[in-house]
Amino acid sequence: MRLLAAVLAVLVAVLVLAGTLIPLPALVAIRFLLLQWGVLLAGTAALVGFYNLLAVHWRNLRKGGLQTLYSFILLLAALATFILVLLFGSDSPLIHTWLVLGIIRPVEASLMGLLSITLIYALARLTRRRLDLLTVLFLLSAFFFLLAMAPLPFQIPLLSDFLAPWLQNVLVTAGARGLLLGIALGVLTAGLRLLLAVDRPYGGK
Amino acid sequence: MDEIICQQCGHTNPMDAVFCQRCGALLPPSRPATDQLAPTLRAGEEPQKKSTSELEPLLPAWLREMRKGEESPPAPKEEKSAPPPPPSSQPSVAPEAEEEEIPEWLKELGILSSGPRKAQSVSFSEKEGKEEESAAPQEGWSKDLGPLSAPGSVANAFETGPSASAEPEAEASSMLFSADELPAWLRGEAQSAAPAAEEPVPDWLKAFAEEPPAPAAPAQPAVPAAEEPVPDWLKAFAEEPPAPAAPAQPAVPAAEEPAPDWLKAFAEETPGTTQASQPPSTPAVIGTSGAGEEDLSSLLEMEIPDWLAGISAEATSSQPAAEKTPALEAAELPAWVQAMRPIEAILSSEVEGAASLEEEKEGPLAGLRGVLPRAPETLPYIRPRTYSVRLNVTQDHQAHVQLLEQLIAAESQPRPRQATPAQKSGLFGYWLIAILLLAAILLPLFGGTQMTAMPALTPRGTWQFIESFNALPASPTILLVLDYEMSTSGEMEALLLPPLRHLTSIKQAHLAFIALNPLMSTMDERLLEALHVAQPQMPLPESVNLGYLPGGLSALPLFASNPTFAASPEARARWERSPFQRVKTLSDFDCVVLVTDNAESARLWIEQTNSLKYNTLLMVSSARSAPMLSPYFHSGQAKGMIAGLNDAAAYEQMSGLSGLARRYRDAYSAGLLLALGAGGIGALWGLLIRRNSKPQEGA
Amino acid sequence: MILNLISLFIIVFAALLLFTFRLLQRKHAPRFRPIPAFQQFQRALNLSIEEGKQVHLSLGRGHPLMLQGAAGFASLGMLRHVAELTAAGDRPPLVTAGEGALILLAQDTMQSAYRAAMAEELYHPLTARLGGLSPMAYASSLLPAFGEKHTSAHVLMGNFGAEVLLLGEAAQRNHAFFVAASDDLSAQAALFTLAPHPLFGEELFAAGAYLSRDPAHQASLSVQDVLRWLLILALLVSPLFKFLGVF
Repeated sequence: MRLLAAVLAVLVAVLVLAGTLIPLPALVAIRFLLLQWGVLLAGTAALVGFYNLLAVHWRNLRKGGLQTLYSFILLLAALATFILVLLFGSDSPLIHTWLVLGIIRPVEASLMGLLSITLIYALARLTRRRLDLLTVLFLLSAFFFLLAMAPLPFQIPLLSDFLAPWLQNVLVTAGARGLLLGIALGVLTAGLRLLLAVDRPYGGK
Repeated sequence: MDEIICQQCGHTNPMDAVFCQRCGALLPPSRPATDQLAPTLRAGEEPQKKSTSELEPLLPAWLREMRKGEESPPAPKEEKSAPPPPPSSQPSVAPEAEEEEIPEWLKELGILSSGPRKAQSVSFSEKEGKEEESAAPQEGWSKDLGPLSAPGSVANAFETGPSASAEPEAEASSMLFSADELPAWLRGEAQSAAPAAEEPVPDWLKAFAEEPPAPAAPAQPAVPAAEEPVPDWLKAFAEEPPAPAAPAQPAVPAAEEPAPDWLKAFAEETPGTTQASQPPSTPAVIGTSGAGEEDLSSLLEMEIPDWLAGISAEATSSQPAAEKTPALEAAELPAWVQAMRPIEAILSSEVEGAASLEEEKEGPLAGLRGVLPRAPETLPYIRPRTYSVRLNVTQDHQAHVQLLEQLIAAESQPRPRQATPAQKSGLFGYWLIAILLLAAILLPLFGGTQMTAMPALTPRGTWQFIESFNALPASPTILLVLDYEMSTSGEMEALLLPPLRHLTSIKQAHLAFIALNPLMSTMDERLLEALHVAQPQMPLPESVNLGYLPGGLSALPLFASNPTFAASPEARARWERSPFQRVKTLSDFDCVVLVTDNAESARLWIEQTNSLKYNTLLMVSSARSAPMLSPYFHSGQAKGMIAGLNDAAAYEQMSGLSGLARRYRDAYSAGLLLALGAGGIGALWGLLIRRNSKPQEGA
Repeated sequence: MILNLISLFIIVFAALLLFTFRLLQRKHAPRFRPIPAFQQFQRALNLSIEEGKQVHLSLGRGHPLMLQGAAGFASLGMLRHVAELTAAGDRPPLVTAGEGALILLAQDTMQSAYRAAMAEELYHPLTARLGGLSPMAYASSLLPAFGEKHTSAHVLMGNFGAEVLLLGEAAQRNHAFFVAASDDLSAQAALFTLAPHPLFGEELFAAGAYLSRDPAHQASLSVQDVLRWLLILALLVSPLFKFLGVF
């Protein structure tokens, strides 16, 4: 069974890759078909994930402890949302106004605000945690670009108009590109390992 | 000394050690040799020193009588009635004159040569605990005996141990001969033993001489009158005249019993054999049960006890006149008897070179000379090294063992981990930054201040964005791709509203919304509502919500070929009734506006749809993704780009609109300045703390 | 079309390099520079096993069908290694992810790890659990795990955004061991301010080679190094060719 899963995974990967790189109509059609199957599987996986979420919190509810109340609220909210969306549809004003705009958006926005505070606090404590050349360079570049990019009440000559854009477009972009290239190479080799069945996270190993 | 020195390595060991602590060799016994064979003490028992006087009652009656006779002047008694004095009371050996009368074989034995004879009292002691007392020191008298003179002699080796010695006196004494049963020659030799001795008599031996003889044990044959039954063989000795030819007949059976052949041989010997030359007929060993004819030969082979030798000497010396029995002829032993007597060959002190022989100091042959063959000088005997299986544990080993035990015990007992409390000192800074940040953002936002000046130059991306919108047809079909999270929806709405307001003001655009995030599938209503709020006088544009693109960007090729493949039936119905019906593929849209806060997905969208060659691609990006997406704008793949609140405010300024972007820009500026200040102060504070802590660590 | 051909050539070339390095490793083991984050993680993993505590692994939100899924697969390789080590431990590892498909793969990976460790009966599917589906919801769902006393090490490797900073701050507050790596640049910048040993760039994809020392992972890391040098060469040579008018 594990061998069959590995063979199937490799076959599908090769077909999709071929359909992407080789513009043959047959290959493109197979690729589209496999992509559709993949999308279906991804949706099903989302449902399985939802079931996993419910099961975990149901077990917490039965086990008791500090997480019992939160698990109960989560289970209640999840089931209520599921039932309401089934009844009224996802584009219903009830769902949109009360659930999305009334609960989800404020919560996530507040967490984003908390993240901003955490970022500033982490920046303030950076020298206490670690002090080396890289840390000093990081601090200096952060201050420099904050000054350059921020809309200041005052204008700093040459900084906002020339220096900051050049540094951003050249140095920052180049450094970011370098990191992204390295990540791309890592993605490439990770995909190769999957393609060649060296890595079999689907239980084939 | 309370230590024993190992003979192998010379290491000093405690007295009670059996094996050497260094090399493991067997250590010599710490007790005198006489104690080795003595019965061990029971646990808790203390050795009790006993005087020899206490041992008097243990002596057989005939011996006691013999001792009495030795003490007192020799009474004109018959041999039978006069018990021979105990040998201990005989301080000395017969004078030299008496040596003439001493049989040669006795001389060879070295028993009667000199010194008082001390009985092998181990043989006589029948009680436990008397061995140490009776273990006579190996003084001169014992040396005269030669190899067998030591307490641990062969004679004692023949003993069967305490159990044998604990036999009743009857059995023991039945082996002994009473004085009246001894041949006259033997009795005379014993009685004639001069009290004067070249060597001092041990006290215990004197005690035997001084103490009155204890009443005879019932088993002991009485001398004067046979109150106790006398064994027949002893009777034979008593009745037998002291003929020289019959000295070696201690166990001559009764008259009714036929004499054994070997005894007849004795009878055939020359009468010239003196009594002294006759081997004693008494057995040397007490305890051997079942005295019989067969034991006589073994008895002859055994060591002659001192007391017996002394008795013989005294008898010989003290009753030279009393007995008028003719001197015993020296027994002429047959060859086979002589061959059976290894003792005379070994024990005789007159053996050539006996004095030069090595005396054994340990073991069962302790005190004997020449017992073991001497090794040639050229080959010194080296005792093989004895390897002990006993574990040689030194103090270092014990220390290591204790350390190991502590380590193991520490492993099994987990140390209680101190619960480190949550970091509380950082909460103050956290709250301080939060309060300051809120104040910095809310004040400009609600105060309506415009503390920041607009840039003089419009960003190129913003300018090209406006130009692209101006270049669209009158009723463009525009695809709005919503690729941002709910957490950044506030910023993204502020960025998207100005171009939407501009678009709806100049064009009669038809908007299609597609979300790459499930939560964003309903955000089209939010945007339209915000658009209506911003410009209520303007009619809302016609829009179709295509919903969420399942599979995200992996389904982009599918969407590109059929934009409605994932739309709901209602959306498809609206799609068919709207101007969108002419849009069959992604490239049929007049403009695609990518609204994103994720640089990765934007890159993917651009790279995957690059080959489609759709007309216009515009990007609305958050400030954090702008640096990564600006190369796509600069490379021409995107016609316009709004990056952050700066560009959005500039768009509002250029299009003559007033909106949230301008207000947010001031709050954004205040927040950034606060971040700068807090970061700078915190960095300096951290450096200061590190600098102050270093000298303390060094001290 | 040219781009497709170049892409195909790169893929085939990389595959050949992978085979080559795999064969060469049989004689010469590769040597990589030490990465303190992985060393500390291995130490923290061993300590948690010794103490009988739990290890928390978060795989991120990388959808397997998207580009971010590669980071998810890299984290699955690390999960395999950790699950094998902790299979017979006192506490199974806690695995969280922000994607349903990733959770299914994580469950499969753990089951095969437990099977390899001859402890399949100890496996429970609910040790791998789904967090939130949005970044902030995912981060908030993980925060309680950072306050658990019986969890000694937190490993966040995969596709994370800047919200990973909230998790790192929670780990710092509770004095728990924390190591994180992401393929997102803003997350890397945020982690630099918090993590004791930050991981940059493709170091996330080196986790399998450094931790499990799998020969295939080591070979792919060697392939990455070769391709990186070729890329550097191309970046230096191509402007020159452009300048010379070659293309």
